[in-house]
Amino acid sequence: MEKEAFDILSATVLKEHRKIKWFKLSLFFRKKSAVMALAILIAGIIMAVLGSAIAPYPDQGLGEVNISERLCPPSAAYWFGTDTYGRDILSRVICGARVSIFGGFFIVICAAFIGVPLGLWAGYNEGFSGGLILRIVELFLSFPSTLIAMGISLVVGAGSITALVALIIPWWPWYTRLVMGEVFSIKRMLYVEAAQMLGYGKFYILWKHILPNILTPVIVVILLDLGPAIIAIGLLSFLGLGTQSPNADWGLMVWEGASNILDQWWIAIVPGAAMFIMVIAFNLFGDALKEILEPDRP
Amino acid sequence: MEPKIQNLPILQVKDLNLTFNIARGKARVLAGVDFNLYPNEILALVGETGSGKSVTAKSLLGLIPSRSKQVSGQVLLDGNDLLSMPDKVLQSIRGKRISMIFQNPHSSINPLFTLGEQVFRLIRLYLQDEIRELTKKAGIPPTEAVKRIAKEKFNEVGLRDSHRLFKSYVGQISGGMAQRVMIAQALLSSPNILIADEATSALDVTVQAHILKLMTNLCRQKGTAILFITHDLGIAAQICDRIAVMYAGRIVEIAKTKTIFSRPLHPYTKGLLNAVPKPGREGRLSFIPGMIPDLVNAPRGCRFYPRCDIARPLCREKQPERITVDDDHEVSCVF
Amino acid sequence: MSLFLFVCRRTLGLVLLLLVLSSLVFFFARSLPGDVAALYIGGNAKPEQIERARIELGLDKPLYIQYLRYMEKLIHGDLGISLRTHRPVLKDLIEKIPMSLELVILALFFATLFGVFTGVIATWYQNAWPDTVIKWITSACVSIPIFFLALILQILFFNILGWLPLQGRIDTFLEFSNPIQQITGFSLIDTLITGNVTVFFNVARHMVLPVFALMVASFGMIARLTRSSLIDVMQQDYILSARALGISERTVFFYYGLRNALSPVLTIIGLSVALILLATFYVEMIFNWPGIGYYALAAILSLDYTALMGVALMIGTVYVVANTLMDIVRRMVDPRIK
Repeated sequence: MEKEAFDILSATVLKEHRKIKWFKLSLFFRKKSAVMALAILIAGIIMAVLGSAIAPYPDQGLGEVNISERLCPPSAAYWFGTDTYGRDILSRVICGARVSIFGGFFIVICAAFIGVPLGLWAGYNEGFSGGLILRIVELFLSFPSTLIAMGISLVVGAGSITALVALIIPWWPWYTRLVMGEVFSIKRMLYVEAAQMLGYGKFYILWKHILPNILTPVIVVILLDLGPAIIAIGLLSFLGLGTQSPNADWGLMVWEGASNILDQWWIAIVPGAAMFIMVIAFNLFGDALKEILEPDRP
Repeated sequence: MEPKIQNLPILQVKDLNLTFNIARGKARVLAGVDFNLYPNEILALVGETGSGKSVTAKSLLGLIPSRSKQVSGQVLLDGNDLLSMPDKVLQSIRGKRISMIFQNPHSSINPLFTLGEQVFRLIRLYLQDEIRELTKKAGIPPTEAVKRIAKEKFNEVGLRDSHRLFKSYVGQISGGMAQRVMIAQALLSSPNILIADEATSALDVTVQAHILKLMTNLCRQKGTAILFITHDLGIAAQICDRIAVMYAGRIVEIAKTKTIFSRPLHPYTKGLLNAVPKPGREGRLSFIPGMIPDLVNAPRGCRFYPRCDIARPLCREKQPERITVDDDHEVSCVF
Repeated sequence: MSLFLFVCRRTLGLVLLLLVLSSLVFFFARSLPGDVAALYIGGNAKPEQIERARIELGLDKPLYIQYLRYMEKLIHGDLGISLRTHRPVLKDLIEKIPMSLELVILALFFATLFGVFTGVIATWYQNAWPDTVIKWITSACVSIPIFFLALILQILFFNILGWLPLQGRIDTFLEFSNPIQQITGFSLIDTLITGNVTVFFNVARHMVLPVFALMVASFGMIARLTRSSLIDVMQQDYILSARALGISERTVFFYYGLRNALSPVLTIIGLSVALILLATFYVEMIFNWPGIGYYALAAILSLDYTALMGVALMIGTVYVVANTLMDIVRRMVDPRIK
């Protein structure tokens, strides 16, 4: 009897606390920038999914060389020109989308999957295990993230998967810290105290009362992290610590074209612009969603 | 002892209307507020949450920040309409002639500056003459003069340990002390009107009593009228000369305190009085059924109609007029 | 707690972090692939030579002894000998650091200055057209990959407009005719002190693009955060009270509002240091600027372990120290932090 009453009460409080205002999604579509961003994102995801299937020169996209046509400027045959090995830039950009975009999702989602539960645990249980997690998180956050990833790549050996995993390692503590902060403030709310007094178990409280309330800020951070994740992947592969030649990768392509930047600008600029555009799209999208989901938060 | 209420009001609010443009439509928050405030009197503005009392107060001083709003009506201070004044002019009135203090004293004081810094700044702003007097006649350096004045003002509100307080931050003092600081700041230049927006609602009951006494005594001394906004009829009864009852953006009844309690005329007022638990009275607490109307689609007629127990079809159609029943007793009801 | 105690506590934390940092760097360097001794000798070395080098470098001892010797040397400031340049790493670093620091400090300074200024403007004209334009610009600033930006700048300002030099710190012929005397190591300061005015301007011109590239991302972040923090502050009760007491809007905004909004901004400035340090690698590479980043990259490519350790230590230290300083400054501004 008590349990039912309490469940009804907490359901009401929950609903008020972090109501996702569905009608506001229509506001999203009113913003031109958000809609454009979404369109670009969809285009990017299509590129990533279909990959070489939609590339005009699929083999070159994957690395086959075509020396006779090297360093061609943009033309009808090669819309964005060819690189030093004669490979069509457009095809390689399309093929390279996969690593960047899926890689970005991979990093962020894995980091969240590791960081969020740890944060929930550490935030709720302020005991020894909680303190230990906090110390580890603080340690990770005291050192520069991308450099840690670079170091790991150097030690383990470069490659696209290595780079992705290497980036997850310094990334997850940010989620833990975020979630811990949220849990601290929610813990103090009366309904959690009430639940504890009524004798509910830890996991029940975490699952039913705390987790739904932290979801919104976490989702917002995940969306806003996608852009930086793509850039981070690019930073690693630019130095050769990520995807290896002859595979296509935006960062790698920029590096390949950097030495010819003055005469054959397209080799570096096109993949660079692709990265830029994709990251702006992710950021604008994340911003728009943030305004809807968390209008009061600075 | 009740002071003589002079005939000329110091503040006249006439037909104040305020509409906010929100996503769902237009919310008519204030629908024709009328009242007068006389010099040195204490007028209570009583109403439940959402009745519009805070909004009224803030509109008087032009403190409503939203850009998408429409205001109409008049707020006359000595015959000058505050609503039509540009912000720069209003700035000179705020703090000088009309002051306002708010509900939560801890968050109303800047947490990153010491109390001294904030009070000294106000003194330098308003009490130039006093400062000059001290520096010229008594030869005291200006900084010292400002400190002395501050100390004096703090003593007025019952804060003794000024020197320590000047160096403290708001997080280091209690709620009661913080509210005293606010009062001191508000009454620095002995304004004509002090607006107290739920000024005691966030304080402990015992502290409340002290602060109320302090406010009333100081204001009587300085000749400052108080517009006391509250949801607590009991407090209003204790200190106020007159009470204005507000509901859904309109003032439904306004009269001397005694009259409101002995002869309430408006059904809402009667309901409010009935809902107050009295010691010795048995039985269930009575309450007024229903909720305040949706301000976006407000009823055309009397806004209290849905909850009124003596309502008639006529009430639904027409907004009731303000009728002067007696000397100083006005009601907005068809009955 | 009082400021003094806070500083003490943070400094202690700093020392601990540095300890952890140096240990991590040690294990990192030892985990790198490749044979240190062989690289040290270089070329076609005979096995006996490699073995001798190994003993010389102390690599034959067990790991924990190597660690202790490493820590001991560190405390005395000995960072070992660079495998590539065969000079003490410390000496290399001391030479190169000011070159990079010039860029970093200037970039940080301008990013903060313009960032806060832009954020304030965006807030003052909130939701009007200046705010919208600023939102777009800062979004772009935050999204652009540093290496892409650097290349674009080169194309735009050198190739197309011809306004600024492409690379390097100084025009080559000037380098020989009027070399910069090393006093502090900071080229701008040194040239001014020695009265080498032509070179001063020349170096300044060479600096424009790298500094700009470095500051763009931080500028965007700082501007956005200043704006949102300021907007949040302006909605607080104490701002309303200040207005109600008759304080002018100007004072309320700039004096009370801004001061209260600065605390989170300081955090971002700390983060910006990290970003700018990281970006320095790429900028120095693309603009051929002879600083730490350049040195580090050469170390990576030649697997120069000692140099890498030195660089990692240095960057880690700068990062940790900068964060600690930021924490202290924040505490000075906001006495509520514990």
